[in-house]
Amino acid sequence: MSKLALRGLTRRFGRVAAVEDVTLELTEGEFVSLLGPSGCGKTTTLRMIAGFIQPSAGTIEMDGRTLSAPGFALAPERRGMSMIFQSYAVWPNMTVGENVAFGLKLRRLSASEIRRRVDAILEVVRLGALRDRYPAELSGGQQQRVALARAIVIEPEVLLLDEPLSNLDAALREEMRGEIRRLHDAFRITTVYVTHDQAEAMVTSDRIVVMNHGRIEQADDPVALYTRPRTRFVAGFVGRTNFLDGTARGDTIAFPGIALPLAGLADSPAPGEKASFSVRPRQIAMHEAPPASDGGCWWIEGRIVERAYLGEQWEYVVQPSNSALRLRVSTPPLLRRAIGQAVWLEIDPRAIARIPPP
Amino acid sequence: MPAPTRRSVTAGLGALAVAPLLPRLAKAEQATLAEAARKEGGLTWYVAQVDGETAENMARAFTQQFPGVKVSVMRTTGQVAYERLTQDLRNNAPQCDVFSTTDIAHMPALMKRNALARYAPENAQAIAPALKGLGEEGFYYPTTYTLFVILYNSQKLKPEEAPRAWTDLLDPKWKGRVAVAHPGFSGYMGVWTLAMRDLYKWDYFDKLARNNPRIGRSAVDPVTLLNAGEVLVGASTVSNGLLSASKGNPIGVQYPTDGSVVCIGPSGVLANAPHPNAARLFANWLLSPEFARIATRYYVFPARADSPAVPGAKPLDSVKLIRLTTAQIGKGVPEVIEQWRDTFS
Amino acid sequence: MARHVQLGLPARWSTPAGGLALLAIAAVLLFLVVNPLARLVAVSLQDPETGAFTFANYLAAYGRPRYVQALWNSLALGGVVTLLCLGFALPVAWGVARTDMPGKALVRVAVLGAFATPPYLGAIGWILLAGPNAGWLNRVWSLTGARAGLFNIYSFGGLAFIIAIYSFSYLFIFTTAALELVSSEMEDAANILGAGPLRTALRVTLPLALPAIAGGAIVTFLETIALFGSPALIAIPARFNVVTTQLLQFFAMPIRVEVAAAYAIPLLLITLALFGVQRWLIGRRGFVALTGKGGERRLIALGPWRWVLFGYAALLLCLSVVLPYAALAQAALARAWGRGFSLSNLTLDNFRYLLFVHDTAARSVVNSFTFAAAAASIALLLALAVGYIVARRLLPFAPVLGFVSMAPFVIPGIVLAIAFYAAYAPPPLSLYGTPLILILAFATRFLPVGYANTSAAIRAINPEMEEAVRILGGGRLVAIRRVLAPLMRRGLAGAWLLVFIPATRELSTAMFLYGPKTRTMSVMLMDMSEEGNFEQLAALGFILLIATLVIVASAWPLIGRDFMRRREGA
Repeated sequence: MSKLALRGLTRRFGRVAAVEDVTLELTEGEFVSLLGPSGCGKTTTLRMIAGFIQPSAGTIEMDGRTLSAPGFALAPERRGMSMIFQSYAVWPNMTVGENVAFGLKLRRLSASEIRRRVDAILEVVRLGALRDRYPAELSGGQQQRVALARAIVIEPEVLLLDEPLSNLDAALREEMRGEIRRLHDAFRITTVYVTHDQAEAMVTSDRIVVMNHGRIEQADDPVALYTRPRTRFVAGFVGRTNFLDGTARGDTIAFPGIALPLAGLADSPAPGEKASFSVRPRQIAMHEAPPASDGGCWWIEGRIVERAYLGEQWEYVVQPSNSALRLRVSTPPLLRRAIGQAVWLEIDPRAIARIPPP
Repeated sequence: MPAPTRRSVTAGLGALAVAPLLPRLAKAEQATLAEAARKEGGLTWYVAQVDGETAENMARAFTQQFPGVKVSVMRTTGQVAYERLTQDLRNNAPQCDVFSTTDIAHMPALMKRNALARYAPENAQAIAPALKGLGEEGFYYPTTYTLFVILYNSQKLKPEEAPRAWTDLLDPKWKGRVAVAHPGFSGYMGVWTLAMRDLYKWDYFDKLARNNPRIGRSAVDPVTLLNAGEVLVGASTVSNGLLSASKGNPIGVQYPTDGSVVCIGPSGVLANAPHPNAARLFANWLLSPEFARIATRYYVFPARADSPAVPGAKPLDSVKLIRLTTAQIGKGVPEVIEQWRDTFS
Repeated sequence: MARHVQLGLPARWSTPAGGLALLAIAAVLLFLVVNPLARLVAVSLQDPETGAFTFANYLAAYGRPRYVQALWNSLALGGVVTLLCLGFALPVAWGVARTDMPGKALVRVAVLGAFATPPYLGAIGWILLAGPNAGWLNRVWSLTGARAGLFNIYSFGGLAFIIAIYSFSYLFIFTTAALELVSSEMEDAANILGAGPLRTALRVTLPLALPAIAGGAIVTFLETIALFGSPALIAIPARFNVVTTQLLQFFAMPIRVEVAAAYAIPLLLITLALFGVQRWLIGRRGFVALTGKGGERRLIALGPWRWVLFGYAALLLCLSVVLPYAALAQAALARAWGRGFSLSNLTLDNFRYLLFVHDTAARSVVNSFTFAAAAASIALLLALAVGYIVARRLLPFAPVLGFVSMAPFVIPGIVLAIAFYAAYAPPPLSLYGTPLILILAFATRFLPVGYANTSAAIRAINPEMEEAVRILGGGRLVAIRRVLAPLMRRGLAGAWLLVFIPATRELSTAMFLYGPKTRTMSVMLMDMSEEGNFEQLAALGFILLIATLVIVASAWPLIGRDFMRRREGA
């Protein structure tokens, strides 16, 4: 049985649907990210799970019990969940220890039990020495750890995280996302994590739910999401990509100005059918000379029109001959080519993802 | 009911003859009243007849004599005090116990709306004969009086330079240097204004306006302006003038040759007084010898016949007086207030 | 995050008790703000005896040239004061905000001093200074052998002057705030085209701050026409009336509340209209050119002229603070102020007399501070409740509650007093003469100050602080008690003081509502001025000031320095 289930969850503000028909099930101990651009409805979904917002339609169930339905929402304080907020929301009027103990006190645990659990969790998040400090005396990362400890120490049914790392600098963000995953591995709390940062989602999650315009675009594990995006939006949002939009003609597929063989495509379109593909820049190899044999790959002749050096790689934009297409290609940093140089691009059609036409 | 008998006796024999007899009777009655007043704890006195400081001093003297009966003083000008009282009545929120105004016409108006309590103070028979008829037996009695006269700054003017008659205030040489009060506020000022209108028609004030007088509100105002040297001459009460002079201020008093205006200050107990016993005790005290002594110390003329003389004041029989009846004041003062506002704003 | 507040209608308070509490708050607002105003309008349209509908009160209120003249006088006074304030405030504001004028901190403190002086107290100081013959300035002038005094405070000009020196702080605060946001690049652009500093200031810098200046001018105008104390002290002896003194006359015998109400309605309408204009001005021109930090800001070097500007500022502050306080101090410590400065004339007796002998005065001191404390507490509790309801959208009509809480801001104090009188003085409530009517009127009058500050304090706290409590299992009340209240303590203390201090000195409302036992210091001061007792009057004024200073100083550690900033913003 699923731990947490959203069924047809919808939330409208006036005429605008912020969340529309979201259906999602989490198993016990699963870590699921809601990923999407701002305004995609991921935070609204999270706040509906927390009970701060009532749904306009659909239900939320936990352990088979309905928590939210239109016109009904169990108060947040009675859901047994905990949440980490974008602002950390660490109470500045309480010490680290008091912040962490707060939820336990509300649960009327004995003082010694509270003490034991607080000590334990502070050790886990490496804040043992800062117990009597006030939040104002802590760094951003330390505050975030307090928030984590405070949320986990009550052993919630579900842990909710709302863009918890967005206020941290890049290095700390990387450290903390590892920390979050580590804590999840230690406690196996069912977790819903909202973020707009795909790297964060990929590092932490068992499963990523990509949302756009209030709807779920795709829910998959990180690898499938990257290699097999099912929608143009997902392909574009998770990693960078080139879109190739063509039409099948006989045994070739015609892209603007180029025709390539259909053979080799995993999911081959019927004659006359429109077909689109997402090709990652890394999936394109660049050669200075034409190949001896095609080796089952697509070969496209073109000319470099732009280039940029990014340190870890080169970024080239190649325009195929007789075509207005512009293909982005990533190469290792040592592969240096001049603008205007003629090149041959190699694409393995077995590795590219077919997506719905625009 | 011994009171009517006693009054008739007093009326027949005169105050002197029964003087040894009276205090004993009065004392018993006053003791019960004082006891009841003490239970009430205090009273509120709306007073316009004296300045705030004097009123506070009088109130303290009363409390000294009757410990446990505190007086909260609400001192303001006569017309404002009356407005307050009318508001209290309109809103059915009685505050005032004893009302001592400077516009005697307020009293019949209050009687008409049944706002005055029926009370004949023991001490009422001691009121000077000349004043006796001015109250309304059993309702209100004159408690103090004074004269409206010319005051001048005695540091800057020699007595012979001071104006001799009211008409002298119209002399252009006092332009900008003459002070008066406002009849819309001060009751005594209203009486004086009416007296001047009777004497010289409103023309007097049209001419006065050309002299650009400094107009305060209370009749105390001109005294302050004189003290400060702000003005050289003014119209106010002899009491205000003498009191200020006694504090070392340079105030001279001139009894005008065309008449000092008699200003009567009556007092009465309110029908809906929150502290009826304390009110009666206080109203009686306002006519007592003790009050008379304190009043004269502050240069206010008490109504009692046997009062000590006000130091520095001319005996009344040596002064030309202008008297107005209550009816005249009741009709005339509201008129002159309006006329005043049209002339002076 | 603000985003949540806008997006999320949180789960409402579901218990019936919670719902009742919300309704009770709405009812209190109705009682304090809406009903008195409704009564004011109703009374103005009713025959006092029969209650029938009539326009007769308006005819009575405006039927005499004298009454209409008072309205014109008020408008003219407002206009002249506004012009004077512009002349006072703009150069000094420009100097402080944009130039290297010396002594800026001093100037700011002194402006605050002028702002903190109750106008009627300043007026009394100026009566001592510029009474036409005996005022100190005129006495000095007469040493030159002149026969007539130089200044006559008892005149239209004198009144306009003393109002202006105590109201220019509004324009100063508005203008400096705006000028401090103007980027130096704007001025550089003009300089590069060949404009000198003066021309740049007049043609570029000041116009950029124009919406703020216009806003400040409107506030100045409105404050002036609603002012009661200074006109009562100056205009009555100077023999002209303004709207507020005329309103007091309608409260004179026979008291005509209905005529006063009718006479007050245009004052209310003018105020509403001008506040509308102010909002429109600021909304339309906005601070478009001023938004953001707008680049770096450099101070303009004025050379020797900076001393000229400083001299002007210093003169202004002498006029508004130094001279009047010196005159008041002399009077407060004198046996008779007219005798001047001498050791034999020196005494503390005025203070002793007021505090320990004069019953009424001592009680008025106690009254002022207890009423103000009660009013500040009521206003703050209400503002806090409304601010919370609005911020969390706990009621469908929450924004209306916020609007109603701000509404008294546009009601002149004197009009509010008449409205309260009409609504609550007579039976059935019969609050006339009770402390309660004064406390409630003060609370209402300063509710907007409390509301603006508490709702700012609430908004400054991230709702996530509270949500964190709730998701961990604490209810709304736990969140308020354990987190919200402790976090807001500072903000609330500041807001409380911002209501308390003006309430201790409020005159125009008290004047119409006090009873014999509920006189406040402000009323007492006016009464004493009637008797011309300047020595005790000045002493009482000092007691008021010293007590206020002591309270602010003792609260300073609690509220810190953001107090002043918020005061400027309020």
